[in-house]
Amino acid sequence: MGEPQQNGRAGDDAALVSRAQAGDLTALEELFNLYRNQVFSLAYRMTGNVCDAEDLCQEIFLQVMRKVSSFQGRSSFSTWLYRVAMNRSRDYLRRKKRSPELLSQEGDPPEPHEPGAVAAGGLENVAIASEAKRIVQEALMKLPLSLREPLVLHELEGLQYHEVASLLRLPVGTVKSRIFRARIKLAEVLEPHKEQWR
Amino acid sequence: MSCRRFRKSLIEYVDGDLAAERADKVRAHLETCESCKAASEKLEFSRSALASLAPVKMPDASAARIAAALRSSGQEARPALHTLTSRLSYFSSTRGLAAAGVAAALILGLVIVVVSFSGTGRVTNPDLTKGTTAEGPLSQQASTSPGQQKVDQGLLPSGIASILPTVKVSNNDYDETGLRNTFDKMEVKKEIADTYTMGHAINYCDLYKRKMADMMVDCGDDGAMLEAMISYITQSEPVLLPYYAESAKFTGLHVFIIGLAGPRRTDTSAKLTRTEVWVMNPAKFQANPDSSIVYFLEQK
Repeated sequence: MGEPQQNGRAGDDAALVSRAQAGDLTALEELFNLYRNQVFSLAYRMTGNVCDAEDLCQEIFLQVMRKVSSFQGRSSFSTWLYRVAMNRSRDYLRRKKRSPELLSQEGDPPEPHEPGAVAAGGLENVAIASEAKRIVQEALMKLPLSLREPLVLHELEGLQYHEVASLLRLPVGTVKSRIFRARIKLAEVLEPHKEQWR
Repeated sequence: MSCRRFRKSLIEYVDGDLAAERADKVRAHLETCESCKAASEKLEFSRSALASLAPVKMPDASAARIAAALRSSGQEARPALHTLTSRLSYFSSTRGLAAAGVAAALILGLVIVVVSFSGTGRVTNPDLTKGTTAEGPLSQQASTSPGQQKVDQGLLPSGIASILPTVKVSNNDYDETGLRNTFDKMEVKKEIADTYTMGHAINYCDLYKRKMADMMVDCGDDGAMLEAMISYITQSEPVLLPYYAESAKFTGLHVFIIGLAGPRRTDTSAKLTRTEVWVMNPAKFQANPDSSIVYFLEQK
């Protein structure tokens, strides 16, 4: 995933946001198309499955639609969107935690892989790669939220330390410390499966 | 240099982000410190593992569904997009709540609710809970004659259904099964699912919150507490329409039972087909709202 500023050039964003704030639904839809993958990626990494990620994405974009009028341009739209996404993500996970029976069942569609993977390495390699990804995603879900959030934002979403710090309203030092602990813990959880990455 | 100072640089060292001079010092330290060496190996391993995760894209079918839901919600709530005020909390002070309640009644004045009191002092809304009075805990309520709840249809905004919040004060001691049965059999729940849409919830949620809190005050219970609870529940999901509240007992504990209706997630129709039932302990709410949640039920 690229840096936030790579998605939707700032100038184009400003025009779209302005139109969206005026009630232009087409502009909202364009913003959705520009950022849907970015938001879905974050939602998927936080919830651990496609079904919950889709639910969460809908909540996020509905919230964006409701709240876009309050965006004042003090940050980039991308940063503002991330903040909305993180807040909704926390609320979503908190609600799910209260009602374990609502957690999505097994059998979600597999994570989409690059189309060229089959040709490059054969089906066996694809299966191994998919299994490795599943294991890592499951390990991610075992991290407490306080560690998973900065790890996902920095390592997977590509945000810089200061951007993560701003989003999570934490000192940069705390962000670095949590990412350190998250990666150590992740390695310990993945230790039994280390052969997958040799 | 102590391990602690090196540890601060370990991630950047493993990721290749350290300046050469500093990297040399870290490398030299790792050759003599088993603990830091083990940590760097774990950091290296986790880096490899995370790098194996390819970016994920939103499936096209999911995108189509969400886009349709956005269009549907946007079209229904279009007037509200321009005038929607931010959803501030209602629970700052009793005076503030009272003022808000009076202002809402004066400004809106669109919904007329007649709350009837039975001979035992209990409050019922038989028109809204029809189908339940003959069964389950509600049968303990003293019945009132039909039509005691008056709704002047002419004063309601066009598009709004005649369903109004239901508030009861009872000594019913529910258990989980009894509570589920109560809500399963509620006609008002079915009417909300058939009639209400996201647009209604966006536009009229505040009205329902205030009416419910006002009615609870009229019944002699703490309307401010009820409104605070509803606001706490809905702050993470503002588009939840409160349609039911009851002061009751749940497995012997005094609680407030709150029913809310919400949109079915990922459903393009944007109908309010999801019902939530929250059971919350008022004695614990002010100290820690999270710990006051005794029971939660979501029905789709």
